[in-house]
Amino acid sequence: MSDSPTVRIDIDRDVCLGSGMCVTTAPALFALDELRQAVLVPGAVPTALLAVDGAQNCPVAAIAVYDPVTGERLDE
Amino acid sequence: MPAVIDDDLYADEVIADPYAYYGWLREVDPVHWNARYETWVVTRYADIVWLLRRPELFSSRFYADDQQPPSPPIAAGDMDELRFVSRFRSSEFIQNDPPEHSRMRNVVNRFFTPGRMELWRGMVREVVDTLLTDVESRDRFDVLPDLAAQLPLRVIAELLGVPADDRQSLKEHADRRMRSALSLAPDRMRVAASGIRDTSDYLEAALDGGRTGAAGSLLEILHGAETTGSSSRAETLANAQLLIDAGHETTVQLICNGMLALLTHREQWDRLVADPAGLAAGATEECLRYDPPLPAPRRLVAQDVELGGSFLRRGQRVVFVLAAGNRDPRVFPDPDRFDITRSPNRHVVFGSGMHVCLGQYLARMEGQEVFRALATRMPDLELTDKPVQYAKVRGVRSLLGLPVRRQQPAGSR
Repeated sequence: MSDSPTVRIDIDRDVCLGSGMCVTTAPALFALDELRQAVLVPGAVPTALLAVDGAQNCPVAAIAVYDPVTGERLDE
Repeated sequence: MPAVIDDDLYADEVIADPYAYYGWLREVDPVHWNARYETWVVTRYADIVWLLRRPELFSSRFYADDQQPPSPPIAAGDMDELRFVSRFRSSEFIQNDPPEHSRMRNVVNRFFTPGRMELWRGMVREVVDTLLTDVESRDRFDVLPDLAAQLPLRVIAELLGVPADDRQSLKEHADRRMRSALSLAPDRMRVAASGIRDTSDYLEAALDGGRTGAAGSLLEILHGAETTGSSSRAETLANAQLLIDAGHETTVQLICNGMLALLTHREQWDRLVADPAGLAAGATEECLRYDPPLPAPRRLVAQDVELGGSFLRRGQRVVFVLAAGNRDPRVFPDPDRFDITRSPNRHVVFGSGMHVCLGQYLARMEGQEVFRALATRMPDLELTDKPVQYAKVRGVRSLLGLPVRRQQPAGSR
């Protein structure tokens, strides 16, 4: 896990359905807020492995994962 | 126990109480071949979640791709009706796999976000209050026709943008489309096709006449996607009907099955009565887990795959029993216990993965408002002595009625 690089994560709250799929997939990184929408766990290290897993399991593609340096989209 | 029910998924005893049968399967043969209905039956939580997250192995294109004859059989003269229903329903987004599924579902995804759904809570609350006021002075009423059959219909009609006067006819079409289609009767395809045709005629006239309700209504959104060329008329008609059926029938069962569970477990009802606002959300989750509206949806095996030591072949049918997964002791301590404060409560009633229920926030909201209002306004509610009965249908856990009585109706206090 520590080998996985850190990434930038965008959660589109205009799309997030609150299904909790990201939380089930990667509970160390994603949580649901009081409105049942996805947020990052405070203080969690956004590793590519967890982030991409969460993004790819989102039923509405509300989560986008980017390489922080190149800006390349990593979850598609 | 198992031999008694002859492995009949739809035997009267199993419909009356499926949990003993599901539980036996889950512990003894968790990936089970049911020869009678020629389908795999998957009952463990982990297996259900695993298959739901692999759309490349388990296809949702049931109507488009299922090559086997209907089981149980339909009337010999109804094959054209079967083809009509299959072709029509294959345009529903839930009947599609990637990438078509995402393209179709994206049209309506944004409508169902928690923030937007919360804007409707006031409307839901108002409808619940009106319905309760109508029955409040009576010492007996029936939760199904008087409450459960009314609320979700009104709510989904509002969301779609359908005028109040047209609601009842749309409900009657939906009943033919859903309830009859899910029956085991040989004429079910003919009845379902008539429900589809009648709603399609209604919707075509509304769309072409510019009657799509208030700005931002679901009909307007669906029509908009058609106008821009991102979806077809067939998809608009199929998905509008899908939203009517999914937004309506399932929530009817949530309210009925939920109230049955709450009133059967009196100590749980009393807890809810003591703190309706605080416990309505937890009660809704537990009602969903304990006795789900759609206990056993299906998929088609898309590629040969091994699951739990069984070898599933391409083209075979799979029933995944959410209701059995929801009582899997590997996930839920004391799973047959009904506990409105259960936490965590990671039931799979809305599915998992990319097909996870779009309307889950709406369903929860309707359940929360009904259970909260009933516990607040009618704490003295109780079941009558009449035993409850279920419709002989598959896929939906559907009570035929839920008569209740009051110890002290409003007028007599």
